[in-house]
Amino acid sequence: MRHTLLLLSAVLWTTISLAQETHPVNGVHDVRMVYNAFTNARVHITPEQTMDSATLLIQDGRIVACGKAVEIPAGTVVHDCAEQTIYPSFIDAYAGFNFKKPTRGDKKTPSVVNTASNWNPAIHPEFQYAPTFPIDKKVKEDWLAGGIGVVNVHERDGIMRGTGALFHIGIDQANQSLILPQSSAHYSFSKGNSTFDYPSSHIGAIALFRQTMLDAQWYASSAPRKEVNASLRALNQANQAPNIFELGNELSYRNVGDLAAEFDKTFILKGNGKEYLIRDHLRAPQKIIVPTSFPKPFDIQDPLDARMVSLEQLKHWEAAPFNPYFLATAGHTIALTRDTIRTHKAFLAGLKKITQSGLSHGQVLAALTTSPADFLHVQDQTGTLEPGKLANFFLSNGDFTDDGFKVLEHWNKGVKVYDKPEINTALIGSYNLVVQEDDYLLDIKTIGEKGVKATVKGKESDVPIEARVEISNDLITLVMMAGEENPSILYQLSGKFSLGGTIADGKGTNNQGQWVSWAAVKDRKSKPLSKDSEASTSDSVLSIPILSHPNRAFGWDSLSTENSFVITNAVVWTCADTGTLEQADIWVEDGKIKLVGSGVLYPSSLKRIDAKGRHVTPGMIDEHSHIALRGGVNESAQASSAEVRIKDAIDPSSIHIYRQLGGGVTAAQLLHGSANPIGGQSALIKLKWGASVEEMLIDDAVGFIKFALGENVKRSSSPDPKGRFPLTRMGVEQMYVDAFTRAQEYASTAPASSLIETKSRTKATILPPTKRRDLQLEALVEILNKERFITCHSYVQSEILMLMQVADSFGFNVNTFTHILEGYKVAPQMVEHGVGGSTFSDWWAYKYEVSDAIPYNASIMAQVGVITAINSDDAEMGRRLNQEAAKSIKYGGMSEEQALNMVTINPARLLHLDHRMGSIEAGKDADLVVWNGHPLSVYAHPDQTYIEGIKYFDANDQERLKMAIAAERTRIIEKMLQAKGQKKQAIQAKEDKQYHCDTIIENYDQE
Amino acid sequence: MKSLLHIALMMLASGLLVGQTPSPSQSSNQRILIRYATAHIGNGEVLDNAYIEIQNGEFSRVADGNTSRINESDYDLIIDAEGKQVFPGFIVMDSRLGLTEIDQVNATHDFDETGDILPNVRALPAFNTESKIIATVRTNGVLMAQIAPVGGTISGSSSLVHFDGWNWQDATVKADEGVYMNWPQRYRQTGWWAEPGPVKTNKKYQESLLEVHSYFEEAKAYQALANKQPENLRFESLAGVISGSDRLYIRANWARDILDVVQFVRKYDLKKVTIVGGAEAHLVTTELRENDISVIIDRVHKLPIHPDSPIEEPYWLAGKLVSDGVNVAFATNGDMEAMLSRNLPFQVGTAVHYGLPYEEAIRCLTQIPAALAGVGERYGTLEPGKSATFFLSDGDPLDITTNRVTQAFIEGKMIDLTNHQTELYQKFSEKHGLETQ
Repeated sequence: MRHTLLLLSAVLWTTISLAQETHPVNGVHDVRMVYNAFTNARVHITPEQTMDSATLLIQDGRIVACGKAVEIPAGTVVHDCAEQTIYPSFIDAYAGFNFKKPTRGDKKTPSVVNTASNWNPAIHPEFQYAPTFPIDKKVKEDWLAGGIGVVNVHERDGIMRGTGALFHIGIDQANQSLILPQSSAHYSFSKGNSTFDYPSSHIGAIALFRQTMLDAQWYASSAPRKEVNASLRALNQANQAPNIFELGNELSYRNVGDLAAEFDKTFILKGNGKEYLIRDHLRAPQKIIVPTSFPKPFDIQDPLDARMVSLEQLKHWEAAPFNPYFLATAGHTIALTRDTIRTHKAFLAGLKKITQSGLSHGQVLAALTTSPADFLHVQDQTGTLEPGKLANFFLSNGDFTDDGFKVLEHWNKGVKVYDKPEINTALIGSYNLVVQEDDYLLDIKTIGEKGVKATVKGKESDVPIEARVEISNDLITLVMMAGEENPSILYQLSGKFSLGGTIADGKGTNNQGQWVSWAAVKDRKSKPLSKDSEASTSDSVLSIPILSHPNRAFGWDSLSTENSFVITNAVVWTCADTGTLEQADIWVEDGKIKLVGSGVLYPSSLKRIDAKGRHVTPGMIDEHSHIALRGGVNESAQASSAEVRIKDAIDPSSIHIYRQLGGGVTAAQLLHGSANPIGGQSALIKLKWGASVEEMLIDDAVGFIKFALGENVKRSSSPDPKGRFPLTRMGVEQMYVDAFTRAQEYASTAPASSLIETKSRTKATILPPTKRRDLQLEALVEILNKERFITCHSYVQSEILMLMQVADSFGFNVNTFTHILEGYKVAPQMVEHGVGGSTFSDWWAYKYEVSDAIPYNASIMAQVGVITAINSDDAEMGRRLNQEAAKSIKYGGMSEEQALNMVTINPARLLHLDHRMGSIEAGKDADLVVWNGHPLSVYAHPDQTYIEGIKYFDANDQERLKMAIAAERTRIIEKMLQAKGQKKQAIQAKEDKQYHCDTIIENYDQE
Repeated sequence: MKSLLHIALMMLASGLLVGQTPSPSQSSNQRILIRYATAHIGNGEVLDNAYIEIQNGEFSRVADGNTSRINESDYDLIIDAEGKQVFPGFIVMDSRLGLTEIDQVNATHDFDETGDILPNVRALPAFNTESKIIATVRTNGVLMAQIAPVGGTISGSSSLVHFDGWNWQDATVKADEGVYMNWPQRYRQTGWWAEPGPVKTNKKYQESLLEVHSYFEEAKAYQALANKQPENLRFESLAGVISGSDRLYIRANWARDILDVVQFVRKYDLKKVTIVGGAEAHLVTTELRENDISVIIDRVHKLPIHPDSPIEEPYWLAGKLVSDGVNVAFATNGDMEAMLSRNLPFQVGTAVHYGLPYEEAIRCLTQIPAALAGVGERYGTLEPGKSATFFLSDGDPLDITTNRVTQAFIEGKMIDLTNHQTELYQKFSEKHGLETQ
C-alpha cells in the first residue's frame, strides 16, 4: 500500500514538472529528471519522526519518498550516507540577512520616495522587500552551513515596514529561489531611519500606529476619495500575509496585544530574548519567533567591578538560554531565528544551549522547521521530508545536539548548494614515515579548518625537524626542514592516503632537487582523540533557573495572596472625619477595610498584627509621578499629543516601585511630560511590585490628561526651539483656543454614541464612511464632555488665570493644577473655578518662572480652600512624601492631620479615587502603611506597606533580602567566572529610568 | 536690658524691605547673654540650662547656669531661652550657594570654569552675598558654606564663607582653604540624569590616572625649584596642598576610585585629604581611617547607587562611616543643590534615624567641617574664644516640624531671618485675609 502511494506521488510530481516555464531558454534545454537517492542515513523526517538507515529519494526539486523501504528506481544517482544524518532545511522566519541597523537619516527607504505614501516616513507598509541576487557567496555559505536553507527577510526599518520575501538560499535565480514574495507583513515600534520628529516616544509610536490603522479603515470605506494613499491601500491588503511584530522590548507585548484586539488582527511576535519574563502575561497562546543568541558573561574578575553588574543582568545571563523552553512550556509556539548572528558557529552554539535547557531535540527541530513553515503559511511546501515537499534538506555528521555537529552538504530544491565534506579526523595519529632509506615518526595531532598540527622526528637522529603538513581530502603535502637556525629543506613531499587513512604514499624532492619516493604507515596503537571525552561535561542538561517577580533584586519568589488580617493597638491616622485614633484596630478582609476603631470585634482566627506604639496611615498617593515608564515620557514633536497614552509605556519591573513602597507610597498618577501644551493621557497605578501592568492599573480610574504651561512648553531651556508653535505664553493661549474649537467642530459632526463609549472600547468603532476618526480630537472631546480630566503643569499666576478662563469659555473645568507654585497668589480664583492644586513643598530657584515660589504655598492654598496635595515628580522625593508634607507644618503652620491629608485623601480626591482610597474607612481598599514612629517625622520609616491587604514591603525583611541578594549574586558570579572559553563582555550597568516633566529623550526605541 | 520686643521690632523693620535680601547686621560689639537654653556644643557635648555670653563677636563664656552668676546690667541684650536649643551654625560643604541663582539660567552660573587643570581658579571672588537663595537657607540654621568650583579635573580653590556679609570680602571666613578635584572615574555614567544610559567602564581611566599622577609629580618638583621663573600660577596654587597646609578635596564615589585615591595620597604624602561623594566609602572605611581621609557625603536624600543596593543605603552611609571612625561632613550636591541647602538639617536628621548618633550628627555639621576647612580654632563649637556664629531653635532643628529657628547670630551679630519668601508669604496672606504664623 505504502509503495503504491509513494509511486503515485512520484508520478504526480513527474507530471507537474513537465509544466512549461515562462523564461525562454538560451541554448539547448537542460531538464534533469534523474532521481537522487540518499541511502543508509539517519533521517529526521519530521520533528517527531526519526528513522535510522533510511533512504531519501528526490526528483526535480521535490521529495519523492522517504523511509526504510524505498525502492530506488532506475535512473537514480545513489549517495551512500552511512553515518550521516539528514535534516529538513531549517527555515528562518526572521533572518537578519545582510542586516544593517538603520540610522536616523542615514538613507531613505525606497518607498518613501513615492509621493503618494503616508505623511510619516516611518509608515511604509507598501514597501516590498526583494532580495538582490546573487547573494554574496560567503554569506550564503555561512547560512547554509548553519542548516538554514529557507529564509524570510524584510527591510528592518520603520514602524510599518512593508512585506518580506521567503526564498531559498543558494539558488541565485530569483524566480527559482523565491517561495513567496510578500510572504509576511512587518511592524515594530521603532521609527528606524525616519528623520521626522514624530513620534519621539514609544507612546507616540503606538498612537501613530493606531491612527494609521484607523486611517486605513477610513480610506477603505470612504468614496469618493480625496487622496490616493499607497500606504493605506497596502495596509488594507496586508491582511492576507502573516503579520509579524518585532518587540524591541519584551514589555511591548501588551501594546501589540491591545492593537490586535482593537483592530481584530493576529500578530506573530518577534522577541528580543527576554520573553520568558512575560510568558504568563500573554493573553493567549502566542506564536513567537525568538533569537538563538544569548548574552556573553561579564568581565567580572574584579569583585569591585562585579558590583556594577546588577542581579537582574546576572539572572538574565543565566536564564536567557531557557527563553525558548519557558515559552514552550507556557503553551506558546516558538520558532527560532538566527536573526543577526554573524557566524553559523555562534548560531549552532546557541541551538546547542537551547537543547541543554530543557527542550527536546524534536521540540527544537520543530521550532526550526515546522513552526516557522506554519507561521509563514508554507507548511505544505517545506519544513519536513515528507513526499511532495520541496527537496530542501541537509546532510550532517550527526544530530545538532551532538558536539562537533557539522553540516556537510546542503540541498535546496533538489540542487546541491553547499558541499563541505567533513575533515577526516580518522587521519589523526602516528605514522612510521620512510623517505628514501630514512625512518621518521610523523605525528598528526589535529586537523582543523585552520590547518594541520603535526610533528616529525628522526627515529635515529636528534636533529630537530620542522614539519609543515597540509591535508586536503585525501591529499597530503609535507615539507620537512632541519636545523635550529636557518633551517634548510630536507624533503618536499606529496602523496595520497588510502585504505581509510592507514597508509599514505607518494613522491617528492630532496634537498638536491632529486625525486624520491615515500610511504607512511599508521601505528595501529595510536587512536585519534575522541572529541566526546573532551567536552563531555557540556552535555549535561542545565538546571532550570528560578525566576523571581520581577526577575531582579528584591523580586518575590512568589506573590503573596494573603489579604485578611487585623492590625491592633495602633495610632490610626484615618485621614477621614474620625481624625486620629489612639489604640485602634483595623480589620482587613479580602483586601478591603472592614472595620476601624477601638475594640473592634474581629474573628479570633484572623491573623493579628500588633502595632502597639506604632502609627498607621493610608498608603500615600503621588499625584505627579514619572516612575516606572520606558521609551520616553514626552511625545514632544507636536504641540498637542492628546492621542498618546502613558499606560502603553509602563515598566512594572522598575526598582523605583519597590523603593517608593519602602517610603509608604501605594498609588501614583504616571503623567506625560510637560514639553507641549497638550500632553498625553495619564495612567493611574497601584505600586504592586511583582505584578503585571494590567494588575497595577487601577481598573475603575477615570481618564486624565496632562496639560502644561510656561517655560517647558515655550522650550526656554532648549538651545534650538526650532520654531514649533507656541514659543510664548501668548501662543499657548491660542493653541488651546484653537484645539478646543477644532474639538467642538469634530464633536458636532461625530455620532455622539461613538464618543461616549471610549473608555471601554476594545474594537474600533465603526463610523459613517466619510468620518475619519481622529484620536487626538477624540481625547479633547472627552475633556469637553467631562469624561477626561486635566492635570496641568503650571507655575505663574498669569498662565493659571489664562487656562481657567479658556476652560470656562468652553464650559469645562481644569481638574488639577500641578506644581502650581504661584497658586498662593490666585488661590481664591482657583476655589471659584473649582480646581485643585498639587504642589512641591519647597522647590524653587531651578528656573526663572519659580522665582516667586514659596514653601508657604500649600498652606495658603489649603487655607483659602483649594484641595491641596503634595507630589514628588521625582523618583527620589517619592520615597519620602511624608517629609514633604511635613514641611507645610513648618512653613505656614498647617495642622499635622491636614499635612498628612495632602499625601493621602487630597490626592485621592484630585484623582477621583477617594471612593476607594486615601483614607482608613470601612469599605475602602486596604492600602495601609505601618510606621515605626510619628509619620511626619524624619525619624520615622514605614515598617510595612500594604496594597489591598497584601504586604508589598516590610522593613524587617530588608536584612534578609540583603543576604539573599548577596548569596544569589555570588552563586551566579561563580558560574560566570567558570564559563570558560566564552568571550567576555565589558561591564555595562543598566540604570532604571528617572523621568521628570521636561525629559526629552533622543532614541526612545533604543531603550 | 533690651527686651525680646526690641528684637521683634528689629525683625519687623527689616521685613518692610520687600523683595530685597536682608541687610547684614550693623550692630556690633554687643554684649549678649543667652540663658536657660540647652546648648549643643558641637563637640559631642550637651549643656542644659546653659549661660552663653557673647562679647566682641566671640563667645566669652559658655557655662552651666546652675553654677553661674551674672549681673544683668552687664549686657546689651539678654535672651531668655528656656525650652530652646542652641547650636553652632551649621556648615554646608562643597556648595554652590552664591555661585548660582537660577539653575536653568546659565547667566547666573559662576561655578564651572572651562579647562581641565584649574587649581588657580578661585570660587571666592564670584561669591554673591546678595543671593536670594542664601537668605532662605540661613533661616533653617545653616549659617556658613564652603563654596567650591566644579569644573575640570582640578576645579580650583574653595573658601569658607558666612552668610552675613556686605560683599565676599566681608563674608570670608577662610579664603582658599583647599583645592577641589574630580577624580577620574573608572566607571562612567552615560546619558544624563533623567535618561541614564548604561554605566560603562571608562577605557581611558588608566590614562587619566597617569595624567593626574604625573601632574602632581611635576607640581611637587616645581615647589622645590630654586628659581620659579616664569611663575606657574597653577603649580603655585597647589603649593599649600603639597606642603600639607591646605586640604585637597577629591570628588570620588566608587570604592575602586577611592582606593586609587588612597594610593595617590600615600605616594605624594598628602597630609590633608577629604573624599567628596563617597557613595561606596562604606566598603573602604579601614583604608580611609588609616590614612586619615575624611568624607563629605554629597547628599543623604538620594537614590542608592546600585539597583541591588539596600534601599536605605544612602541614609545609613553616614552612620556607618562614623561608627567605623571616619570623619564626616555633609553637602547637598546634585540637582537644585543651592536651593536644597536649606534642607541640610533634615537630610542629616534622616542619617540620624538610620544610625548616626545625634550629637555626632551635630559635630558633622559644625566642628568637623570647620576643622576640615582649617578654622577649627575659631568656628564650629560653642566654646569661649570662638566666633559667636550660632542659632536658637524652638525644637530639634534636624526634624522638619521642629526646626524653628528663632534667632541666629553670625560673628556675634543677630541676623534677620526674613527673606524673599517670608515676605511674599506675609504679603499674600494679608491679601487673602489669612493669619500668619
